[in-house]
Amino acid sequence: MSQGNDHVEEKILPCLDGELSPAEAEAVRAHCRTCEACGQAYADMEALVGRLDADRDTAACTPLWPLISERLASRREPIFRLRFSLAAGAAALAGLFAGILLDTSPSPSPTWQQETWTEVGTLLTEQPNTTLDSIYLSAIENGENGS
Amino acid sequence: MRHEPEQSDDDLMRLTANGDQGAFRLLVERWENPVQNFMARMLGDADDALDLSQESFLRLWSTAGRYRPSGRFRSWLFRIAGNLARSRLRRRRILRWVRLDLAQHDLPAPDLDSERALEREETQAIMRRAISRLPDRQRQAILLRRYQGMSYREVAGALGCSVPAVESLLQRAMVALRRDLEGKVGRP
Repeated sequence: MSQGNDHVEEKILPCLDGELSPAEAEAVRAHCRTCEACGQAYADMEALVGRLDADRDTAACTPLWPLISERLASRREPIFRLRFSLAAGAAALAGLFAGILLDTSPSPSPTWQQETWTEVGTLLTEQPNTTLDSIYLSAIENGENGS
Repeated sequence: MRHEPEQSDDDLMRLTANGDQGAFRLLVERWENPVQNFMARMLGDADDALDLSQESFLRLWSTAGRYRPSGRFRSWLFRIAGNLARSRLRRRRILRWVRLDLAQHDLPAPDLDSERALEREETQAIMRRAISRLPDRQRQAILLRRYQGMSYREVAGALGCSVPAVESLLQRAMVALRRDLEGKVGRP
């Protein structure tokens, strides 16, 4: 970095910020001592850096953890609800199938499962005493006839 | 799990990545002031700053698994915060354009009663307004360097650019600030 037209203005800020090697920084300062334009630029930049650095934030801000933990919990909740619903549904299904499997003995009166199937079948077809297996069988028959 | 206040950010991030909320809480408490100050200066609006500061930490939580511990936590955190802030500023500009609101109130600094305010406060307010008028990337670079005390390398990490690019951004920002402040604040 020589004197004369070889100005160092773009190196002044890195120099003030301690981003140059000691040798580079000394070369910049040496140039600024002898070059009027760069010397003025150095003084201006130093003053501006001083002003900015004096305006650093010191005030404490809003504590964020209570707000963040609340938002984290609300984000987790839908997944938790979904998992809980799935688990509850699976347990209900397992219970239902276990009941069907265990209840194999013939009984004079219709079992609660048969009653349930009949009620569902009646609801679906709007015809009394229609069970789900009869709907299934008629569907198969219709399918065979159709093909 | 018990956490020590002197645990490094990298250690806490490793624990956070494993779902440790205690470690995450320490990180939040350690960095909430710098992040909120940065947001306030980027956005010039306290409500937005608070909202996006929270969002920054929530993003930090959800991306903790992608963080590679290398002592660059601050750059990682401020990259998240900076991206959110710039995105909010873009949205504001679009909304203003849609509403055909041509008033230049991009980043309102708090108004000070100049007659009663101390001279130092006035100067600071003028400086803050000048910073708020800088282009987003230049403003971000200035805030990270001057107010967060980051090295050029850290700023480069936060902005996702090279160190020479940071030098150039800072240089242009300082020149613009000097021009903007000419005649408004006394020469030292």
